[in-house]
Amino acid sequence: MARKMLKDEEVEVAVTDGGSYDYDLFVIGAGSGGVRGSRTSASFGAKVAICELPFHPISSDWQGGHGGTCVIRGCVPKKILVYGSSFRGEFEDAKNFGWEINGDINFNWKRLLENKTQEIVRLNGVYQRILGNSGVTMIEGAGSLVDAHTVEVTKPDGSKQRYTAKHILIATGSRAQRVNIPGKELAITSDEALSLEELPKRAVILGGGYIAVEFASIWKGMGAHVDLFYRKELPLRGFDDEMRTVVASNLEGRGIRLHPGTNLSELSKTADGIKVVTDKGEEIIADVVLFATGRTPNSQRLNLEAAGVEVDNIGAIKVDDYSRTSVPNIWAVGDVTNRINLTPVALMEATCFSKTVFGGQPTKPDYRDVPCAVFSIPPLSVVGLSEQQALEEAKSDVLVYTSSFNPMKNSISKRQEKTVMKLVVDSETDKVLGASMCGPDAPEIIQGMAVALKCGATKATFDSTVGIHPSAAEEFVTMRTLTRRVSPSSKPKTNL
Amino acid sequence: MAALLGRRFGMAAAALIALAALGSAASGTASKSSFVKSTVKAHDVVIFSKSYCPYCRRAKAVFKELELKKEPYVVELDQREDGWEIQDALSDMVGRRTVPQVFVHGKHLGGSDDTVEAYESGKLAKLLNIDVKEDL
Repeated sequence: MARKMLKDEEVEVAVTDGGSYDYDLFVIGAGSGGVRGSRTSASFGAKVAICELPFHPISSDWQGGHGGTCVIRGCVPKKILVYGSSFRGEFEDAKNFGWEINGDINFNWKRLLENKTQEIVRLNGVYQRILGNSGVTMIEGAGSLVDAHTVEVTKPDGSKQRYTAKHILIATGSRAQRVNIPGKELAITSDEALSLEELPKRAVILGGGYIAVEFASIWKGMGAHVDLFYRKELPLRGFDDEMRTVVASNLEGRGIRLHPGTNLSELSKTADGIKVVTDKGEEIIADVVLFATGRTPNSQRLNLEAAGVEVDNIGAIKVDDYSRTSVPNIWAVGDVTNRINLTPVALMEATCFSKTVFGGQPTKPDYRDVPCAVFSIPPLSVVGLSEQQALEEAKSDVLVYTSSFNPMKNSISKRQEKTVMKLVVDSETDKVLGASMCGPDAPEIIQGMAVALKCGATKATFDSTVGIHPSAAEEFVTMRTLTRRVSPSSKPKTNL
Repeated sequence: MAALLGRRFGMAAAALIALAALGSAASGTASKSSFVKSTVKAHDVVIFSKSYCPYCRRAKAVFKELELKKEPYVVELDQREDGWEIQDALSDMVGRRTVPQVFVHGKHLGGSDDTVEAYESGKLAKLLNIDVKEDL
């Protein structure tokens, strides 16, 4: 019997005792979004089941694991490798701080790999425990739709079982895509890059997004020779152009060879490694070629058409503001919907879904001022609008404040690498529209800025805030001098 | 490569070839280093740049502002086959791998920020013996 029914615009909310269904909610995919959606729904009293593929560090059609991409083959292992890689710079910087390191400093890739794998195995177990403690039924296997209320799970042994549910939540995430060039099978994706048996001495990376930039930093820090190829003039398309320039300069400063405006045209196996041919006719020999050219939604094997669930031209599931698909009782969150593909966004979408469907509080995810970070070395982190986006949206002039300085630590270590910070402000309202930073600890600092932006902070609020001294973060509250005033009409047309 | 040759001609030959390769790499950097030195010597202002780099554009813009009689000599590293080697040699000389790297009268001025700073402080005009008319 229904505990609560209400309408908010088109959203119908209901918690049932299952009625003629096995479950109130069946979730396909136990990644960040799926786990959050199932736990939160269960806390509202729903009877929930979730299916997930057996655990493996490298994903495939039949391998996955609780925790999903982020925990098993994404953010978490990546950050562990970033930590490992950062020590090279620390050792270099230590000399001028009086540390005399005598003898060789050797990097043991196998040990780091082992410890990383142990950690993701532990987290996979943690996620299973969390689900169990929440009263969620866990089913191992690949889920696909039979109709609007039925999911068929193919178990690891090949047997199939069907389950019915009043609501279905699809949270199957995304997977790395491969570029279609001759020899593409010789390349790897980020999945394999996080579990390589041997550390490459010579790495070629194709792509200009955050994954490409992060792996370039990781491998360079571990002593590899790295060549990074991307189509545009600068990496990190979609980020603030000025900050992209800073990142490119830092990558180059750390010894990574950048090849802008260049694509790969062919890979072939040679006695000395993989021969990489570019569209400019250059040839390079590499131990590893990483394709980091984007990700594609995991929607192909869900049999969506059986229930009438619509997808867009790249296979992303189409949803409304509440994450409802074209079928009223089927919902989707996270990367499979290709909105903002970040773990915390999937968590937000899943929480909103649970509140809407089982909590009696129709809630839309709020995509304004979502912060994010690129864990290059040093990292870039941003929240709110870039200068270019601000000009797109602005009705009045945009005020840009920047600060570029040598961090205090560098003045002793003599590392030539500036930290750059930037605030974008609406001249009419004085509201801070965006904040970005490239430099050590940027993500930790920008998380605080995100709260300020979410609260609608003005530049005057920033200016009246007392800084913490000495810190890099205090620069955000001491930027008094205007760098430039840009009018929406003078918006530069960039194609970087 | 050396391993393959070792199988065919014995390890001594392979070692010699490997050493020769090392030598040529080292001499490659040395020749690029002399290229950098001679280029810097031959021109009043030299900018080691990459055509797509916004920081490089900024440094070039500074010299446009100064309206020099003789334009800076610009080496676009991304448009040369030996660009990487020149960049390696530059890095050894000035301790930085980034571009641009600007030289004035044979002396290293620095990167983009250093160039802008020198321009704004009037130091660059002094180095180039340019009379700066003060706005009265």
